[in-house]
Amino acid sequence: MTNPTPVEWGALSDQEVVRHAARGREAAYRELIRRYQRPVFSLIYRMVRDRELAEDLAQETFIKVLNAIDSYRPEYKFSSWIFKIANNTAIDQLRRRALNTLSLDGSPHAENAEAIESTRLQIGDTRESQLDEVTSKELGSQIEAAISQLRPEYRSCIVLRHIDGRPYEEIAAMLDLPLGTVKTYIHRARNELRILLSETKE
Amino acid sequence: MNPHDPKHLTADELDALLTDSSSQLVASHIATCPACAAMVERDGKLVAMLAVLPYFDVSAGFSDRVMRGLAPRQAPVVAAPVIASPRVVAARRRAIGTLLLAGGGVAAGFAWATAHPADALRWSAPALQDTGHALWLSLQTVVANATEQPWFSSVQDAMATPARALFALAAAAGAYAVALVGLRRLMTEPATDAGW
Repeated sequence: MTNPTPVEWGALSDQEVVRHAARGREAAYRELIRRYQRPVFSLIYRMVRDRELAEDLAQETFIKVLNAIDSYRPEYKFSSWIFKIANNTAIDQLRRRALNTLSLDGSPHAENAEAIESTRLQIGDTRESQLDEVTSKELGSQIEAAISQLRPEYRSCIVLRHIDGRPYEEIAAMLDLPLGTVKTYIHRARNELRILLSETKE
Repeated sequence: MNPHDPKHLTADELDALLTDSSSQLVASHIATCPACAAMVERDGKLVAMLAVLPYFDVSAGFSDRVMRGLAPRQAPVVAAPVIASPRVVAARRRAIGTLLLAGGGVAAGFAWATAHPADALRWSAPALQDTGHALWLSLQTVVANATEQPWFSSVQDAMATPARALFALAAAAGAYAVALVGLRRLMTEPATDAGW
């Protein structure tokens, strides 16, 4: 197998690049990093909201993936594999730091129905219509801020579904969740985002 | 439609609308239900806004930092050229020099003896005579010692007839071969993975 020129790397599928990487070719490693550094970093950054930490975790993700490249099974999508590891790395970090996230469904640490109810945000649906008034200039940062307030599992789902455009089935496989749970999370995440954005505007 | 609230859309129906795969029934409901129409519109806007959120860029040198963090891969085993140490090289040179010197001396001796055969014979005769005498004495000693050994009579019996001698030689050769094979097995290093 000859070593492709930089122009040829771009034409290869992920599976083909991985095959080169498994043979220890540095250029293949760099191509995989080039392809996935932005989406992986973006997913992690949206999860942890700390640029330096996100970069460390993205680096950790790539090191885990590339060190284990021999164990990659080509019948699965490489993107699913790397996003799964990226998400797990971010979730582990969030658990370690025990980051407190604000959830409209109540605190994720609440142990009974009463605690959940007492920590639930009371926001009226009538505010949703104000989303229309948010100008597009402010919108990017407001949406990012709203995403950061979602529960981590909602955050992963909404980023993978609506920012990365992954199908539900792939997200379910990545996150080891039932398909129905993924749909529910995404639906709830959208509802929360709408409400949070309305609240921000108000 | 939502079984709990037959008037409005379920989450799946809402998702279907967002991906343009909804049924005619759902579409007709939207047309007649301002609440659902507003919900679909807001969801559509939100999804459109999420879809255009940019990826963030990593800082410069990210790729290099990842590469530095990777475990070194085991390189394929390539037979390395044997490089002799200076000490070995010097020892080889000394050995070659000695051989050349000795060989040169012997060759010069032969050349001189060929050129002066009478002198060579005159000078070497006593030495050859003494050497031959010493060798003969040594041989006699070895034979005398052997004949006095307790096993000598057994060997003599075994060699009494040509057939017996042949059998004894074959048995000795067989024993030697078995011993060689056994020794070789004992000295061979076992495979590292042992097939596991």
